[in-house]
Amino acid sequence: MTVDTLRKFVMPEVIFGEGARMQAVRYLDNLGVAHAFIVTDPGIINAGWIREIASAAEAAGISATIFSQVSENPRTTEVDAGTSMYRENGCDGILAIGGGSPMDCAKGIAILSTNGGMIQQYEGVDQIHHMGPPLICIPTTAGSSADVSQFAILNEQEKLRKFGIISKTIIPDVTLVDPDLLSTLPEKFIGYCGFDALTHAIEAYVSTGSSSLTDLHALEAIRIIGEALPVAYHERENREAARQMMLGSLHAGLAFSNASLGLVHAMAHPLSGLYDLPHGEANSLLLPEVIRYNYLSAQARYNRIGEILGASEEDIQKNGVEAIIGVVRGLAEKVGISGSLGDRGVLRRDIRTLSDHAMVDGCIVTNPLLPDVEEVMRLYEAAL
Amino acid sequence: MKRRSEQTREEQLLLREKILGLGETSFRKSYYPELRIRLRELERFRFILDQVSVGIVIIDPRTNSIVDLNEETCRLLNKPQKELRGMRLADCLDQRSALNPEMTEIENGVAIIRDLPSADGELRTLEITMHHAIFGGEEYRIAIMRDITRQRAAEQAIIRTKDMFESVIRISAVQDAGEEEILSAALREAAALTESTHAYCAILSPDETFFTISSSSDDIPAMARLSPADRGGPWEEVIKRREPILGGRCGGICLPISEGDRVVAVITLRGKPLPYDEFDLRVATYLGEALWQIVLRYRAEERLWQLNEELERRVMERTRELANLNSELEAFTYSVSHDLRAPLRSINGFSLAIWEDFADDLPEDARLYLERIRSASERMGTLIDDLLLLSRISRAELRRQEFSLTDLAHEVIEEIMEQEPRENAHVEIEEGMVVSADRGLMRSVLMNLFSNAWKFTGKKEKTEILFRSQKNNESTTYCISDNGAGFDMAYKKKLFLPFSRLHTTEEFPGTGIGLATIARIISKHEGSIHAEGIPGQGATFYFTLGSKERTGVLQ
Repeated sequence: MTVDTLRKFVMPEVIFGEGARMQAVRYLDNLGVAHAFIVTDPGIINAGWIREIASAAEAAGISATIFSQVSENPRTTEVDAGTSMYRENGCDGILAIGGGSPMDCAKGIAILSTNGGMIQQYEGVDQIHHMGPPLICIPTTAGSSADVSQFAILNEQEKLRKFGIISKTIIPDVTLVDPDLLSTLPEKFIGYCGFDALTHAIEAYVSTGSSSLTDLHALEAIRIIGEALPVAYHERENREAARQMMLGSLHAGLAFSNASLGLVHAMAHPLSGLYDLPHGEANSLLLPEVIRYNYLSAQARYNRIGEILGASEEDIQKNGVEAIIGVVRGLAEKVGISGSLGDRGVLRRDIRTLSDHAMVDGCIVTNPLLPDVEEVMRLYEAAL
Repeated sequence: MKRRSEQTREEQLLLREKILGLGETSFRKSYYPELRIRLRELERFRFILDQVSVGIVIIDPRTNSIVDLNEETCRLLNKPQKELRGMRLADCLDQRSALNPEMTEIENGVAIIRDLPSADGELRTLEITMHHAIFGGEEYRIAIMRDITRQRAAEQAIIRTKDMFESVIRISAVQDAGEEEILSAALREAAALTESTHAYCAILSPDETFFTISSSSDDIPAMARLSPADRGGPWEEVIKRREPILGGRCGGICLPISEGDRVVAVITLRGKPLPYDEFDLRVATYLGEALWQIVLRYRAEERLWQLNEELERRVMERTRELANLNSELEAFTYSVSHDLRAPLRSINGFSLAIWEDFADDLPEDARLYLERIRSASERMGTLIDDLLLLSRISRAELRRQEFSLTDLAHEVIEEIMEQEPRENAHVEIEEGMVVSADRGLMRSVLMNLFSNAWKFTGKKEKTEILFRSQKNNESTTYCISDNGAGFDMAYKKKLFLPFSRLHTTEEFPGTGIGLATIARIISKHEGSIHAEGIPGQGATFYFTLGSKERTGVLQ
């Protein structure tokens, strides 16, 4: 073991609260952006958010070019298309509005616009040499936390795989967390995204890269999400619950961006690559089996999580990991997440491939217990 | 794809470090390094802009003031960057304020700014093109300045050189004018080419004691056109130094025109508003040299013309004298011949009467003497006839007609054979010879030549006479040859002189005028005649009948 005493904590400038999105114009101006490239998806455009922000920008003398060809799992081809459009229009800054997909795609465009080449070149950790242009994020889901993280996950369709780009240089400059935007998300996504955020917090907390600074945010995230997620899911008009989900997701993002993640994410990324399965959904279905596998390596931390999520001390004493898995499953069921990977069409014959991918995923290295490929395969099987 | 087994624990730990942000190249997003790179690029670009030999100025159109500029602009406008920033471009360009309106008018066009003072004191010409540009949402005017001094100078030099050549052509084309007018015209051209108000040419007299002065204008009175050459002025200095003077005491340009080592004239130009430059000197020198050549040519032509006149006059005089002499001589010959006939007839008649009436009474000696008197007077008669013929031919007018020379020859030879029949004679005459000539005169020619041939073959066993023609190119030569006594080629020149004979009268009778007569006739036909001979073997006479002759062979 190396001497493991250093920890770093990096985060963007954050504005949280209703109406935070309207600060976008001021920040574009502060960052010297004259022609903003807005990356989003058609759903957000239909909801009218883009029109609102673009016209405010134009009123301030900032032109805007809108790019919305972003899929659920953003593709490398979409990054290429966006980069061309960015260059052709002479843009000098990026505003990403949406869930994790537009934000990750925006990060890819930011990388290529200054570094050039193919986005696949930058796969892995610290492969980026030139700063991207200013990047402002306005998240519309409470889950991905791409707006605060150093991660960008992209989908290389020809190879049916997802790959991660990890670099402090792609942490956005500013994130404007505005709970108003959450109201437009479909019900199902609130559940998945909420569970995604919860997974971020749990994995960051048990990560071998965690620290006091990240623990603070992780535990706060678990607490907030545990309480607010069922309310937000059932009461779409409950503004306070939405606000709490956004806040929880933000905390979770700050935690995992600095402490990194673990086996759930390492295993979930190949699933999304192979089956185009929503990230939050894949996380929620893998989480219980990974908790079971990791439990003994981070028992106290998992117990703490169980407590926060409502498991009694007695239950934990008596049932150990099952008590933890129980509260997690309970929460999942409350927000309509049930079933298994098999129900989502995951095939046994793909498990070997999925496992191979998971073994080389960057997230795996901070998991409390480092598995071998057979163990990963067994975990996939258990989650089928 | 990497497997677990391939990924060592070390590598995993390293990856973990990097993910936590502790890798060597993990840093927080900061625009500073990137800005520094861009700044360096901009500085590099600025450096490049400062190296170009084109002035680039960015102007704020609202205030017309200079926002930014490159080094070349400072050089062109002869002011430091600090001073130029914030100034109006028109103010930088102009000390004479008249250009201001011009600058605002050009907008997108091109302006030429002349006579701008530069650091080295020379005046330069700038070309300024204005462009519009928008960057950072702001509108700007960009002025691009080029120093076109040299380009303009080169253009000017070409134009002036062309003007110079045209001037020379104009001067050399001056016709029907005296030397003074040519000089005056040339000086006007020189003045115009150098923007001078006055141009003078002082031609040094051959003894170098005075100048003859010409001017571009008619402002010099005839009295003052001569000036002594010992005043020690600029002209004398130019002559002494044999090089031009620019400015200074001469107040313009003074330059020498030389012929070999000697300065023959001095040209002076004055009154140009700007100082004279090297180009003015070149133009003036070239024009001066050309002018001098023209003057020399003019003088040579003049002399040639005078010589021609003189020559023509003398030829006419001589011709008249000769004509007089000729006609006098002919009149003399005619009258002598004519007047000699009467006394000769008396001598002839009375000696015949004595012979007829008193022959028997006369002693033998007396009879012999009388015979001699008679034969001598007969010969004299023939001589007079021949002389009269010669004189007549000289005066007669040539009447050309086309006729058969062959026929004429037959006619003549038959006549001769009739008078003096001879056996063993072979005469061959070429058929079909046709000529255009005076038939009467040609009869005399043939009669003479055939008679001679007949005469000189008299002592041969066999007489052979040949008459043929030889055609060379356009002319035809006729030849009459015989196998007679011939002659020595040493005397061939004497042959055609009157009264000259190669044989004694005793050998062959004759007056010695016949061939002279023939020569005269042939010469009247603009032909030629000559003879070839070998003593004892025969002679051949060749003659042509001149350029107007038209001959052909009748088929």
